[in-house]
Amino acid sequence: MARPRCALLLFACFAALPRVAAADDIATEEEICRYRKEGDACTIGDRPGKCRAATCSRIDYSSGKPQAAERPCQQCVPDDATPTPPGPTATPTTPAATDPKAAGATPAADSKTSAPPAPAPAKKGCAVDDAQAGPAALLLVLMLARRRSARRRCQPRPQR
Amino acid sequence: MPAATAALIHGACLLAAVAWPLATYSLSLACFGLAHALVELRVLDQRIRPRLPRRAQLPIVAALAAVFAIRCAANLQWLPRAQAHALELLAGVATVLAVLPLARSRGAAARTTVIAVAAALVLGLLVSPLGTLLVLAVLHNLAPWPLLIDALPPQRRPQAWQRGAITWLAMPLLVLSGVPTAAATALGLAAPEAAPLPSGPLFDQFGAFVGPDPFASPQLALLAFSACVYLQCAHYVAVLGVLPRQGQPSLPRGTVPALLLLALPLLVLWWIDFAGARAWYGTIAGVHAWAEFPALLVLVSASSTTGRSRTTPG
Repeated sequence: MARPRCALLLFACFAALPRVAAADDIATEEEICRYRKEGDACTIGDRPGKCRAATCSRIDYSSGKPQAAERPCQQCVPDDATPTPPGPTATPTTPAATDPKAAGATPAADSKTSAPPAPAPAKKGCAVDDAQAGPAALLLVLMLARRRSARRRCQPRPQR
Repeated sequence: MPAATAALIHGACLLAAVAWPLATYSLSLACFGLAHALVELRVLDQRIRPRLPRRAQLPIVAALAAVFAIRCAANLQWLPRAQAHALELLAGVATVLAVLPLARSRGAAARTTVIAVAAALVLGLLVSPLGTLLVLAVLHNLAPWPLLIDALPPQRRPQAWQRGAITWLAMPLLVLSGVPTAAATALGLAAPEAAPLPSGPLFDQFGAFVGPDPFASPQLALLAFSACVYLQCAHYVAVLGVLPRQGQPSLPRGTVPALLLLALPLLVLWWIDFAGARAWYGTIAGVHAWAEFPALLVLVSASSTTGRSRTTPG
């Protein structure tokens, strides 16, 4: 009896909560504004911002050969950013062009809105913060150096 | 599993991964994701937990509960994603360090392995938490390989190592070579963007695994994604099809079909909101993936003990 109850509870949790989620299992920041309206507050990294209409670049594989394409989307733009495009890749468009559902549009719908092949734009998508790579690399180098010096100390001296 | 059956199933996985990567990724995740995570957790609980001393079990359970809570908090937007990634990695380090007392008692090799794994995770935390989690998301698919070998009698293990090398190393490398994708395209089978579930375009799913920049190398990004999808399928086959029956105690007959049936109505949720369903599935998936770390380190400790007892005279 306990098992069906657990299953029911699990199903209820699963049914109630998905709409709240805003990103995938290992989240990328690109879906922050998926379920928010334009102008809603959002946070990107530690910076507060607002969801703004934008044009997102992507690669379309539907024709067999990878092609650059664009589609309307919403992106979280930090409040302290300049009012111009949120980053080198996204261009704000008119509000009418923005449909929150477009972010989850089917590939068929996307291919209709795809722009003609264009030169590949700069990368859009999840940004991996490499700001701390320097100290970490330094730490690694120090560890390796220490190990090497310890090894040298342990080597027997040649006897004369 | 007979070799011919295994070859047929993995061949089908490879074809599906290269011809319909998005469809295979989304459907396999929706149909088998939850069931495989629960089965693997049960197997680890039955087979590995008894090998751990009690004082190691509590911190591991606490750390796994923390992973679950962190992912829930991130989904509910109570916690920024960047902080969630870092906290999750810290909890992961805790699961590894909990095995250290056991590893110490098993010798220098086991102890060094545990410390090296913990150090690698800390380094990943310092360099790039998200990047580290994405790498782990790919590597986690290889976990059934040592688990299956552990479940076999010693005389069958060399063969299992070889089969595992084909399944988890050679096949993904074959996908990465681009030959199967080219063959599927030439045969008119390839439909990379085909998706039975509303998962969005293929491009949106590249973030699920680590891979090259799709703008700089679009074809390589597709091949890397296909290879990861193949690994995901191979993981599901091993966990749902082989692991429950191989080794002791085996799961009761009918457990896997029952769990798959349970997941069937949940398909509706994947249909309604793919990203949301994936995010909430990720709370359980994260727990099962981190549970593999202490489990594999217990196996490493056991093998180093075996090695020592073989080489130590008397």
